[in-house]
Amino acid sequence: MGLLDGTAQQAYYQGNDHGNYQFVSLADIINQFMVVYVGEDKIITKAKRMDVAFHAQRALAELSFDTFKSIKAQEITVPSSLQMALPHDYVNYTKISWVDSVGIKHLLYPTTKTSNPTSIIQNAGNGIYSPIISGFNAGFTTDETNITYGAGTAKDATNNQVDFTAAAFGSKLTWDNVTDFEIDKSYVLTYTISNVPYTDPASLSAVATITPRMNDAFGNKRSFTSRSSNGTYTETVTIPASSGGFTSSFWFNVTSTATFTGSISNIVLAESSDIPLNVGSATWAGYQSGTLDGNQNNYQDDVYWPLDGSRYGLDPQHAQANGSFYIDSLSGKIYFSSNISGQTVILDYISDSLGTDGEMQVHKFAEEAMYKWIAHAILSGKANIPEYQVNRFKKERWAAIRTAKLRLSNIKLEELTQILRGKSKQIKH
Amino acid sequence: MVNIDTVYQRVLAFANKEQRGYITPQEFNLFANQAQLEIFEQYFYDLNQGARIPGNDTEFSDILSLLGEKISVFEIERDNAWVRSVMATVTNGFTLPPDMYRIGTVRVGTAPVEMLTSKQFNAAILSPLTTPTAVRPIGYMVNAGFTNATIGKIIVAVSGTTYALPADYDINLSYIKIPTKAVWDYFVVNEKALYNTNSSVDFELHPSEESELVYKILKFAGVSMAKPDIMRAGQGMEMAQTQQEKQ
Repeated sequence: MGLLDGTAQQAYYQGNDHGNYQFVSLADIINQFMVVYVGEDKIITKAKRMDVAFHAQRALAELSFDTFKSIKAQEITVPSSLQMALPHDYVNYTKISWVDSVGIKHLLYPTTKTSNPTSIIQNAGNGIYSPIISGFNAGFTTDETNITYGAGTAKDATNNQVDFTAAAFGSKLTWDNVTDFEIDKSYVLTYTISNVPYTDPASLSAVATITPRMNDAFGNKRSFTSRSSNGTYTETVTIPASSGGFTSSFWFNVTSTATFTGSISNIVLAESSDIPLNVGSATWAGYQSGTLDGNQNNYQDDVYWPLDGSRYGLDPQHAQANGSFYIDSLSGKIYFSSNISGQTVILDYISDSLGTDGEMQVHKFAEEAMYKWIAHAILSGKANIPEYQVNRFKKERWAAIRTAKLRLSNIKLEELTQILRGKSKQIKH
Repeated sequence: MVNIDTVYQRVLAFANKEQRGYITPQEFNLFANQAQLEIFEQYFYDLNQGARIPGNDTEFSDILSLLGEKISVFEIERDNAWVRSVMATVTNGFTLPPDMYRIGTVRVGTAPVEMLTSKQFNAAILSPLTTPTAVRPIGYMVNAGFTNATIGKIIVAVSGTTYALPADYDINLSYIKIPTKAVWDYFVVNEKALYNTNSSVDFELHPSEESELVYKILKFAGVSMAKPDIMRAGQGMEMAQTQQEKQ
């Protein structure tokens, strides 16, 4: 009958699963609920195991948020980028702190006075930067409507590039119907060639080349420089005044008799006047490079505050020198203030306990709360259940959760007494 | 198990074969199986009816326990070896047992499969909190769309993308089988049919159903012979018994 009958003492102490007796698995809770709470002569006469499992998981998640103890934590050394990726199963943090040399945590406080907004790429005229072509570029979405992949070329979606697989002379990667190239205007092309195999410079005849080209007004080709090796290239070409303006197209052309093998990416073709001004958030850059006020002498002497005792309006949330952070939910990262660089930081956080099968377990202090939660959830969602029964289970659930919370708060009489002794110091002297 | 010869002799006695008419073995066999199936099918509706009353904890008198005992005669457990050899694998599932009357519990290992409708199954697969797992598999049963319409298939999923097949998983099940056809067989001696105990097949029903079998067969025989008094007698006795059982 005993729950430990199956485990020998020796096996327990030699194993790695210490302290597991305090927990009961979610699968056991579901099974036990089905056996004891569901059936003939019971208030819940019928319930799908699937429904019970759903409510059990919901109960586990909800209780994880504010009843169970927060046990998850990650420690990192903050790199110079001052960023930390949120954990895989992160739902919210309970505490973020840096650790000093003797292992004591110093609390970091969240700051709401900064952020990491998306920076719009602008041109010199302060308008929105809009290149004529932006293909396979991390900064832009590729519009493939007008792209034609010629023989020996193919899109590589995984690496966001176009692969030339032994493309023969004349093979093309073409953009048709692009904005007409206008006379007397200069166009800047930037692109990256990669994966070109090593070529022996001594045998020049065997060198494979690829040439970016665009049509001028008379259908004549305006070529950029032919390339044969890996690299990122930027080049400007001007359409001469003798040209007119009609249908325009742009393409990468294999211009050697030798077949070309390689990949092209980060393609941006824009008017030379329409060059990008900035990429990345200036707000974040400022926060990253700023020096925390707490590290300056502003608060230590009266240089900044010349009148003694005149620090009126000091905001307690900013009156600390530990450092600050903010969480960018969009990028899933924590950004730290600059004084945390190189420090060991601990992120204590909560999850919903549903990430892995192993963590789907409940402390025995909260087992009853789980049953009551599931029973109430099922009864309240079922038709033709008298309201007084639903209310009864609602009260029972509430009482069980309160009991679980009280037990899990781990209040011990002796420890509490010791804390209260400390509190009475002021009264003593 | 109810001895078929006992039932036949009682029916003949009730029918007073010399005065009212003889019930041939062929007729008896037809009526016997009709009666057996009627009683058998009624179990499931009686179960539902019995579940609505409080019941009691006294031995041998709780209606649900009694019905459970009667049905358990037909309940069969099949292990994975049997499932693999008899229930053929078809697309994403496996065929039903050939002698199945009603499905009981399908299990993957020790985990019971929750049988749903195909609509519920598809909805459950899509939701992260209801998607099946190895310890909480779900499944559904289909009968239509097969070349042989009498054979359906069971589909069991152990994850959002994995179907459990008997060859890969320990699939075992319990079900209620179809009652074996009762046969009163005979050989002819001096132009009389004598009971052949070796080739006859008894009723599979619980022994407590013996008298109800007699009444039902008598009722059918009365209809067949156009003897309303026999029919009414059989019907009356059957009703009296039912009333006694369900009061």
